[in-house]
Amino acid sequence: MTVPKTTMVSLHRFDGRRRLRLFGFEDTTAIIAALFLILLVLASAFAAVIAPYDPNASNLSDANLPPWAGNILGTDASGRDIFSRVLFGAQSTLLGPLIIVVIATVLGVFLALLGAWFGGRVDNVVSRVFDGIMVLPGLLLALLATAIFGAGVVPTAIALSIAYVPYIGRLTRSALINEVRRPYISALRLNGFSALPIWTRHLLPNIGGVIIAQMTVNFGYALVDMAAISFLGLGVQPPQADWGVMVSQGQSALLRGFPMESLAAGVAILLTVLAFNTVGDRLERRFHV
Amino acid sequence: MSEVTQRASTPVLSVEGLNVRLAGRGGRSLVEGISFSVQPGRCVGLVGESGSGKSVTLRAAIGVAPEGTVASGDIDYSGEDAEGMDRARRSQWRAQSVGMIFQDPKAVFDPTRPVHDFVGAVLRQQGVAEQEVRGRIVAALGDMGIPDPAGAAERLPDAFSGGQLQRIVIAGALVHHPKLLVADEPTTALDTLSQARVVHLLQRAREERGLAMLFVTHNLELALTLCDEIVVMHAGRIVERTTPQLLRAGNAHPYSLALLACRPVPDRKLDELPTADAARELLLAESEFEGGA
Repeated sequence: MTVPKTTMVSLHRFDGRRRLRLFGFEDTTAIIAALFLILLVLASAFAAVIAPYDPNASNLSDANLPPWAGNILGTDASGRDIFSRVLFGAQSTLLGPLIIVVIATVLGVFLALLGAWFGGRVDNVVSRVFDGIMVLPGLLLALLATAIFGAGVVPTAIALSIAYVPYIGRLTRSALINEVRRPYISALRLNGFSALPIWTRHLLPNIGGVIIAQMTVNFGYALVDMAAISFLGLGVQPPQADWGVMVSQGQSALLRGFPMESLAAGVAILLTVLAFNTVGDRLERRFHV
Repeated sequence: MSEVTQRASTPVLSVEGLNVRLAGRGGRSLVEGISFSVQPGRCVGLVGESGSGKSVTLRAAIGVAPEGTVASGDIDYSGEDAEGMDRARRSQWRAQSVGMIFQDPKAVFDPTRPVHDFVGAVLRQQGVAEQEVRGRIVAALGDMGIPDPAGAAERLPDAFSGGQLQRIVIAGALVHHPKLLVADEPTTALDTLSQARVVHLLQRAREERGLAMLFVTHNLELALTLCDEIVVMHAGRIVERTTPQLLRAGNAHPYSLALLACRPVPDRKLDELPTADAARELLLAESEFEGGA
């Protein structure tokens, strides 16, 4: 008996290109953005080791030195090393948005869970709460907080986190409404499981991707808001290094032809926001937000 | 009658005059006047076309009427009046005494959790020690013919075919030794071979464990194979309660016989396939007659 010859055909088409794949991302832009953010976090965490100078050590005789005069990014009007201040400034610049995103996510997801799980009147109340907060401008809330509690990162960040609750809450609510209706949740409820174990073991892990994607996008926006607050002098207080403060303090030097302080901090803000938005955008696409 | 005989003959589930309607004033009636009981070791089949109210009846009977509906009627769980039980007690009875098999096995698993999470859910809920839970899960999966049950328990649901998943669902429904097994169209989403396997496993479980079974299907042939009593439903009402023997002998309501006849068989053209239309008209005429009387 003759056995017919069979040919093994690979189902994977070789397109001649080697694709870089990192953290689940396949496009170069997203990989660069993710690597930039990792480097930024590491640089801010180890700023004390990496920074060549004390960020607050001023020497008026070295004021407004250009980058080619020994300091990587030159010096500011007080003779402080701009590169060291950018590195240390990353800590306070990232801390504010982190507080905002964490508080907003915890509150927003909890309210969304209540609305999606109980439905009906509870969901109506939750939706109206989100709508109510949406009409309040975040910056106005932050200004109000500084008027009551004084300037600083914590009061402004807490005030802004309230303004960010609906952004994460509304999206999470719609994802949860779909998830709650899935048969595996009905099966768990039929088997006598109460709300809390279903929320923590099943619902939240299943929409975790959506939450992380939205957190990443919100982080970028919160960073801009916190930089604006610091620029207005209501957030981080000088002489502590902060990118928003640096943009503000570099204004007068900028007009006198020494743009490095404002420029370095501005570019750092721009690149960080761009990186967060790019990563957030790719995560949103992946989790079909 | 001795106590032992009385306990043996007490229905695991008894439903008398069950009505389910949509919530709100003047809510449309979904099922009306449904009565049946399921004895230990017996299988009752709820059979009818799509939309006849089978699944609603099944859910209301075990105390989980669909959202937005209101159920009423006398329901007894192992001789205890369901109305006398509070919500927690009803939920406890359901978790301990009922095993559930669903139509689409792929949809009932949490895609992010290994299958042991589903199979052992009720045992863990009952506070059984984790070591014993693991042992019983592996035994239940092995019993259902799942290869390498210990390894399979750790895999995610997407590692299994539809037929395998339904067998895992059955393992989960039986692992806590329930008194009543309810199955809502358990073979509909499966291929023929998997259907035969599932039916065989259900028959075996019933014989070996003396399980009471409530089986919902639109496939009358399947009900004839598996059930001792068949409740034929149409438009939310019972057409008749009959037995497979009577149906096979043709001694049944014309609607039931029409349902049995309208099944596709090889070498029969589609336009030759009988339909239940004429029988439906007969039912309508009957209900109008009852209404007029």
